[in-house]
Amino acid sequence: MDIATNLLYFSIINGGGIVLASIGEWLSERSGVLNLGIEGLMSLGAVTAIIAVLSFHNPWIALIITCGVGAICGIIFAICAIIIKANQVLCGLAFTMLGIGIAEFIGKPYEGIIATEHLQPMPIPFLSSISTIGYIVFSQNIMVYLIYIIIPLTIYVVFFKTQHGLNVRAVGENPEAADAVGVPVTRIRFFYSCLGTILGTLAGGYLILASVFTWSGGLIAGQGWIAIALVMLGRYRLVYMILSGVFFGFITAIGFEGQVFNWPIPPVILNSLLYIFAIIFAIFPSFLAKNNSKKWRAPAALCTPFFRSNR
Amino acid sequence: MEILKRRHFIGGIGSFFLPSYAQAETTPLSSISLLPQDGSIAFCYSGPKTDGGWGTLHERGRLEVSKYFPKLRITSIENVPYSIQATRLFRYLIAEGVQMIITNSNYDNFLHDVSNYAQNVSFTECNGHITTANLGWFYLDHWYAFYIFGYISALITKTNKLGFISSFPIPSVYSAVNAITLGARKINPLINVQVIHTGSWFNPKVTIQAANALCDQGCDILLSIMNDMSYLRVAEQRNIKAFLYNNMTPPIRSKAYINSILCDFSNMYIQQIQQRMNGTWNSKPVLLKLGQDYNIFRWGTSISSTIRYQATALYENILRGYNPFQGPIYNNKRQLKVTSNTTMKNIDLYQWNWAVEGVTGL
Repeated sequence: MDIATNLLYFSIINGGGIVLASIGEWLSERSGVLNLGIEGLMSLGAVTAIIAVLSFHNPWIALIITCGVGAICGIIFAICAIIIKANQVLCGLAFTMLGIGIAEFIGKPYEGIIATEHLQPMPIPFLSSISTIGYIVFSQNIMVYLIYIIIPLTIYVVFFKTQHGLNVRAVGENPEAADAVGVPVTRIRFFYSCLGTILGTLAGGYLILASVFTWSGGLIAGQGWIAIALVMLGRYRLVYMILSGVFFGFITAIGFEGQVFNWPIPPVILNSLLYIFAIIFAIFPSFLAKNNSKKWRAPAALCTPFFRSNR
Repeated sequence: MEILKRRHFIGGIGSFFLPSYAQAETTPLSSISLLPQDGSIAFCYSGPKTDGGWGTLHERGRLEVSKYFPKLRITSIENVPYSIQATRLFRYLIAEGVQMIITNSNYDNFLHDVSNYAQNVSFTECNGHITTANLGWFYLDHWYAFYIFGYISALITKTNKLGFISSFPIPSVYSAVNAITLGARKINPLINVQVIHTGSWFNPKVTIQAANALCDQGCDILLSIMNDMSYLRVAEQRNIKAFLYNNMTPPIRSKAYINSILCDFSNMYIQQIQQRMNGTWNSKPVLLKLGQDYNIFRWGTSISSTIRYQATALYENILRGYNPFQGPIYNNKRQLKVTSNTTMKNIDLYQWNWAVEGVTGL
């Protein structure tokens, strides 16, 4: 297997966490709720996954427990941000701080212990035998297929091909109008922000079970923020978000390949490439999308609480 | 409000210098003996104590110390960063009345500044390079163990490429990588060692990424000096082999595991603390010896008896006094650095700061 093939294989695995978290954030934002707590949720997910996998020795049970923790967090977040209508930005930031804090606290005794089990590669018959692509794309673990193919396709069909999807998008764009035609705004927002939180937490669990295998303080290291940025930079398009996620996975991997190839760049800079590219990524799409700003904009009612009495 | 006058400034400047003058007059108190109930010792770790490697090992040493001195007040602090925060922590510990600070990593000037300021406290740092009246260091002559690891690697490798996951380009890393390279090239002069720096002692995420990058490059044996052993999982996945660094409970059943350095710091710690209590402590560096304070014999089940036999022969040779670090040794720019008939002494090996021929990335 040559270097480029392996590099792409691991780019897909490394990028999975960011992509899953950004899909969660996308779902939440499409229904008009900004969830800035992804970083904390990913930390919580990661720590839950490591504790669960060390206790039950089964990655699937670990993922299910991670989803459960995500659901509980989601319900708390949704009660604060949607029912009580507290400021969404502040709620999100509070979740980030709380999540990271709790994760570091609970995870202290588990730091550095390697997960006993992890997600095994599951090559797809026939497709995995295609020469290069077969190895890169179709010889991955099942979570990779879920993150890159099944979840985005399902979301695409639900959001853009069904009446329900139209309703959700309407809630994100103009909740008053949606409410006027009988769409249950609060219920939809509650459900999708919970779903977003579950995916965010699952992203942390995925990191432990598919790519890092061990917990340490500061494991997430800004990936949650990058996921939130990806939604905005990907201009709310799933395809762009996924491609950018893989690109970030690639950047993470290339830093070390650079050292192996003895590039005349100091290791410190190579190790911080991810953050450098996050900044570059934040700037460039703005130039490209200048003339098309309407098409690329965020949901109009993002971050706006819905008060029925104000209609 | 009182108006500031010149005399206030002069007084202020004067009082700024006063404490440093007063300190210069203080006599070192580290020679005064202590009663166990009055003693207070602090252990500071660069990573967590649960890392299953370096941190766990030191923590076990600390637990042995607290068993040996049950009345002594012993604290341990994890994840001490290499920054001014470390200095702040050491100062805080001193203010709390700690009489001896032991660190499991090299904090260099962050510790040196504090040791100058607190002459009555004893400081011992692992892998340190500064020795003053109250600051000493300890380390293990790991280059002999790594030489044997290099030698074994040469018997196992098929690609002639060994990968080394390093933290920072510091002398202990140079000596480890150089020893591996010399040991491997003793058998097969075509072997190369590729080094990757991760920029930290404990960061499993980057360790795994570095291990993957080394595998992509064709390395079929991984070695490291990191605190954790997360790269073993990469080795298992990629069907290659790995040596571990400092694991008390090496996973001998793992198909990727070859061998590990097993070090026991407890005797050294107890000795140092006993000396401090007796008032006989001095800052003389301590170098732990292969075969006495640390060992390398927990083989993985996948390693054949022929390889074990050859390694044992070399090991016994080294214990008998054989020093494999003999000239001629060239650096990686093909310049002769150690002439023939010259043997590198332990202190030269400890302060090694150039890479030998066959090392890339260092």
